[in-house]
Order: sequence, then structure tokens, then C-alpha cells
Amino acid sequence: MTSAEKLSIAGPVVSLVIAAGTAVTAISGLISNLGLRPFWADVSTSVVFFALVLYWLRLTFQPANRKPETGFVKKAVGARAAWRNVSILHFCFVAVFFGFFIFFAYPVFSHIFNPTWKICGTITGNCAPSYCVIGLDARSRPIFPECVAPLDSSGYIELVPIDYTTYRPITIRIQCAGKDLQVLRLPNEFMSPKCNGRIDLR
Amino acid sequence: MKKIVLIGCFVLFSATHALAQPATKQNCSPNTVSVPVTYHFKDTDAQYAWIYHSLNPTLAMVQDRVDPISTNIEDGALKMTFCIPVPAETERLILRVGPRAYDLAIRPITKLSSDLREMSPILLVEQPRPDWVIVKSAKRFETEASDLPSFEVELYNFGQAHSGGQVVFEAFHYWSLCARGSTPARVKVQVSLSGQRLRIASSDPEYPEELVTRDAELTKDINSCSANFYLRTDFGTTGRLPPGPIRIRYTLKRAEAKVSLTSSEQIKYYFTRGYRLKVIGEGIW
Repeated sequence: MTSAEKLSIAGPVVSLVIAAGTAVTAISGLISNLGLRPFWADVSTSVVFFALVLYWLRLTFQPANRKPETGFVKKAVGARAAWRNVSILHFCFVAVFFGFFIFFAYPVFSHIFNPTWKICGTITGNCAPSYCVIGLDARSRPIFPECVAPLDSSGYIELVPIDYTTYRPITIRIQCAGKDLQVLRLPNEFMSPKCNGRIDLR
Repeated sequence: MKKIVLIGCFVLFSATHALAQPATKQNCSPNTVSVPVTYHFKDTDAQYAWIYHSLNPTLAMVQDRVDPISTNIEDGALKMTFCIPVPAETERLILRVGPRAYDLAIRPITKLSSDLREMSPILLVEQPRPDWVIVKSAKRFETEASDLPSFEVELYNFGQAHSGGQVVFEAFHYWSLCARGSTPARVKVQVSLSGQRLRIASSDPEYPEELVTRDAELTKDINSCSANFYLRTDFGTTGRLPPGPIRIRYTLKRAEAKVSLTSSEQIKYYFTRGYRLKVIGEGIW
């Protein structure tokens, strides 16, 4: 491979990384500034990436589908090389953006098919029952804006979705007197309808 | 405003040990919910059976308090089951354990069968140690020197120095006594006190054998053979209770009745068969 060929490959790869990184940063920053809950943040982000996928798909297939307008045959060697370079780069953009789309759309779809949940159980020890709990989704984002306090002095707590767009928490962040105490993965008993789970904070 | 609410402690001679018996498995009646509750003191020195036995737990929804249908001590915790009417989701439960009251949320209720419903367990674990006086035991025993019994009250002060409580003996009798007199009638009882580490106001420690006179009060209608008979004897104050264990002995020396009873042995009968000893005072349980 000649240096000219290497440059011709490196250039599109760098531009691809820069474009993808910029897209993710810009979209994430925008969504975060909007203060959306994780579900709507994922929906918005995945819609943007889906639009990007469609856009780059269109660009990818446009040269191949376009018919010569003049009726003359283009220069065979040069035309084939240009088409190949453009389409591979475009295809990479499509693949990367589709990957991001899947990444953001997956939790949305998995939640849509299982939107109801209830987390309940008793948390004891340490500063219980003066603690409060922030539910975190699979990507460690708070599912509620506020910290949820136990329902009584036994440390019994119930987390229920605000609406159908509230993700199921996978971990919880326990706060004591406003300070983070522990981040714990929720045991299976906390998802049981019997609510007989117990976490000891010792 | 001075708080004058007195918390009474009822120590049944038989019930003192009743809770120590193995728990029998009982089911709640239809249309009620079984509520399992676990109560556990954090400190190991507060996890003794006699402490849990003294707690007399009750569960209430609005006003009606219910006693547990079963109690058991396992792994240093008191495990009990209550039966309550099916509550609404918004209702609250009030659990009273000794002088403490817990306002509890309703847990999910599972239908075990067509009749049986069970609430998810309520766990009150690692609770702070008691900070009140517990009546550990109340015993009656016969002495050779007297035909009247002696009483021994064993207390344990988990808190700071306590001002003390009033010790009262109660006896009920039904149908088998004929008494004549006016109401209220009095029965004079002489009590000698001996306490460990105690300064009993009514007893001079220099003269421990000195008798202290107490009045036993007869109430209700006594001018009948068929009337219920109620005898209440005030044994006086325990005096100041220091932290830790305290044992007080009351020895009855002589009993006189200023009421016409069917026989002179009736007074003795009441003290030997009598019903219960109470220690009454704020923060005594």
C-alpha cells in the first residue's frame, strides 16, 4: 500500500471518528441540558441517530443509483475508484450511527415491552431509617429527580414508576444526610411482589 | 407542662413465663390478614428472652389493638404474628412494643388461599436498646417463718437513674367469699422490705426488720357472698432505681381485716392465690 493510499484511508477514518464523537457529544450535551428523564433522553438521542443513519444511507446509495445524465460513459477506472471510496466511508458512517442508534434505542424498546415494575423491601443498618434512595437505571442514571425516603421507621421503602416512561432501577444510590453512602445492585427479592427483601447497610 | 402520664406494667405471675413456651402455629380467621412482625434489638445484651417477654406487643389500625396470636424468640429477635381486618392501602398500622410506638405502612397482601391472606413481613431490626425499667420477674414464695407468702420483684433499669414506681398487689376472687362490711373496706397488711442498693423511703435501712404498714383496699360490693371480690394492696414505692438490676423483696408479716369475712384464713387465701403484681410508674414496663 502506498503512502498516498494510506492517506486516502486515514483521512476518512479520522473524519468518521471526529464526526461520530462530535455527534454523540453534541446530542448528549443537548439532551442533558434539556433535563429529560432517561427514557425521553434515550428516545430523543435514538431519533437523532436514526435520522443520521437514514441521511447517510441516502448518501451511500445515491451514487450507485444515479444514472448518467449525459448518456456518455464516464472514465471507467477513475469513476469506480471514487465510487468505492465514497461508499465505504458512507457505509462506515451508517454502521457507526446505527450502532449508536441501537445503543440508545435498546433500553427504550426493552422498557416499552415491560413498562410496569415495583421495587420494595426493607433497608436497615447504618443511618436507616433516615436514609433516602435514588433509583439508577442500567446506565447509572437517576430515574427520579428526587431522593425517595422510606415509608416508615422500619426502613421499608417502595419505588414505583411515576408514569409509563420511568425506567426500572437496576441499582440504587443510598444517601444519608444528603451525602452519598453506597451504590448497591438491587437484590432479586426487592423485585418480588411479596416485598420481603432486606438490605443491611452495615 | 408536667407530664403525668403513668405507664403501668402488669406482671402476671403465670404470664411471666407464658411467652417462653414454644409458639403454637395458629391461623387467622377468615377475612383477616396475618401480619408477621420481627422485632430485634441491636445490642446483644438486650436480646434476652425476658426482655422480649416484657414488651407486650400490640398492633392497631385505627383504635382496636390486637395482641399477637403467636410469639417466638428466634436468633435474638422476637417474632410475632398478628391477625387484623383487611386494611385499605392508605391505612397505617401502629405497633406498640413496650413504651415505643411505631407508625408503619401497609405492606402488600398475598392471598394464600380462599380464606388466608398474609401481609409481607414487617422487619424492625437493629432497634435501639430499651431505655426504660423492665420488670424482669415477680415471684411469690412461701416462707417457713410465716403463713403469709413473700413477694420478690426483680427489675432491670436500662436507662438512667429512675425515680421509682409503685408496687401493687391485686387479687380477684369470684363466688366463694362471703364478706360483710362497708365499702371501701380496708385490710391492714404489714410488709417488711429488703432491697439491694435501694433506699426505700418508708423503710429505715438501720432497722430492716421494722414493719411497714400498708393498707389493702377492698372495693366493689362486699356485702354479698356472690359479689366479685377485689383486693388491692399498696406495697409502696420501690424508691430510686439505679441503672442495672434491682431486686426487692416484700415479706408479709401480719394481715388483719377490718371487714367481716367468713374466716380469718381468707386474707391468707388471697395472698397465696392472688392474681398479679403491678409495678406502676412512668418509664416502667
